[in-house]
Amino acid sequence: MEQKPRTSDDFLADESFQAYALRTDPAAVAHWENWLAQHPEENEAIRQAREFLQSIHPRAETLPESSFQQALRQFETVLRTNPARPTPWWNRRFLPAGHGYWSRAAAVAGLMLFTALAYWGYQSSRLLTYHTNPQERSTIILPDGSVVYLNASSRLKVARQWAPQTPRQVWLDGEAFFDVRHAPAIGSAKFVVYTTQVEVEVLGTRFDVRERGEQTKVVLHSGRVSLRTGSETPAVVMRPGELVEVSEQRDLTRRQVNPNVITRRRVNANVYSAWKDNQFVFDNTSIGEVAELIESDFGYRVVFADRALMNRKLTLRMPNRDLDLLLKMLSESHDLKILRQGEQILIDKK
Amino acid sequence: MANQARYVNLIDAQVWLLFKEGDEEALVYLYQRFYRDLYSYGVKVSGSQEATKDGIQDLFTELWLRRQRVREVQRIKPYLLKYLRRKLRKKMVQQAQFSDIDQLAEEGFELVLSYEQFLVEEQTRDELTRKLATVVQQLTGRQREIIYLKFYEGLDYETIAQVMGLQYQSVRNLLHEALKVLKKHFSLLGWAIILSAVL
Repeated sequence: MEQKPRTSDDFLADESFQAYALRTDPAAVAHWENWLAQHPEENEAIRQAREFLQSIHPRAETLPESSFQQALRQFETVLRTNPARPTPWWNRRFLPAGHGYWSRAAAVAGLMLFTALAYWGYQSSRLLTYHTNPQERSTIILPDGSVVYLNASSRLKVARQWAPQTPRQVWLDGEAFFDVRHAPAIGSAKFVVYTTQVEVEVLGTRFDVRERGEQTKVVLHSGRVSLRTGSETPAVVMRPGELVEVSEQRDLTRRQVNPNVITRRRVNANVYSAWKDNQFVFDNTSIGEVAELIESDFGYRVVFADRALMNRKLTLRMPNRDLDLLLKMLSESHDLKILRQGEQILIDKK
Repeated sequence: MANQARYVNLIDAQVWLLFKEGDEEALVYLYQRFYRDLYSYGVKVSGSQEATKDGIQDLFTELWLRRQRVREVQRIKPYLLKYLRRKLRKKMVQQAQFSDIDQLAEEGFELVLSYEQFLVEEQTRDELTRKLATVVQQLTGRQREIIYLKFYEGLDYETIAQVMGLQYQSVRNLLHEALKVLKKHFSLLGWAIILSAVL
């Protein structure tokens, strides 16, 4: 530090000088103030270098508190599913090793180990089932940190424990939105959702699967999924913003059951996942589809006096799922008479 | 997860030892303490918020699962920064976002400097920040990263060298060159500020 830099540039890379300019180290501050008193001719160079260093402000990435809290919750789930095992008692040193003690201890340890392994095998082969009632939704965090939003009247089965390097598998009845972690620390990269009709295979992505009655819809938000309806059929690879619909159709003229009619189209993906944010989003959606949603998510039966009404379109966005308000807006925008009787909603022209 | 306060007064090496012995709360404490710094750095390294979040989650999960084999650490933050950096860059090369490590070193770090300390109108400040951004683009990714670690994280050369896997002297030289470039433009921009304040 006793070399004499001539221009302000020479001070810039000196760590002690930086600590002085940025006031991060009192010793450096004292040193340079003292140095400056002895070298008044350097005053201008020092001032320039100091002001320049003080003006450098790299901008940090800001993170919303809610994102942090969600990440933390996911991590705590990882911890809970992989608890620390206390030091095994046969490794602890407080027991005196008496005569004949070890043979007995070994026998006991063997038995306990066997029991533990058997129990572990039993536990991990078991499935945990989550389910929701009509009008109820729930959020499930899987052992790998992936998030599943389960819509009303749905059921999701998940293995109790996930083994390393094996595909992550879940079984769905109903509708769920998946936010799948890419390349997780637990389980292999492959994530598979099974419904009775389809098998959706995923590599880190966000998508909605809806199985209602004889129809399954998959809507992809981001990433890539491939979908197959059986082991012999080729996989359909989906792109973001696409909807693939698989429905069972009985072809009566040829007198055969053709279980897998697959159609695909581009859609506004937000329409199909609005339920998870407790919203209504419709984008040129047919009233027939709106009715279907009311049936599956609210548990009503919707009856149209005239089937042609089902083809009318609705575009709307509501910040919360207020069924009364939705019906009111539907009736006003399309001049409809909507009657709610018990479990049934009747839609007719005015 | 209550009672995080009891870790605050411990030195890094002690908290690390507790975590290695299977103390979950110690790891949750580290998670809470370093998440934001790791996130900010990771987004700049990878250019992706999602990849960064995944990377941090994997990092802590791996630490937990391999806690008995993880080495002892004197200063935790640089260790975590280095770990995350290596993880993200490996993934970026795998996903062929960059043809190789050299191209990453040239382009792979996003640094935004701002003029917050000047009392100028918003419009002028935006203009200056834009100009500054073009100056920053003249630096290499490595230089931008060193500036970030030095002026945002406040790390010393020795630690920056460890995190980035460089020699002490290269860190110092790279930063010196970068600062000279910035300062040249800073004095020009400094004039621009005075002028626009007058006009």
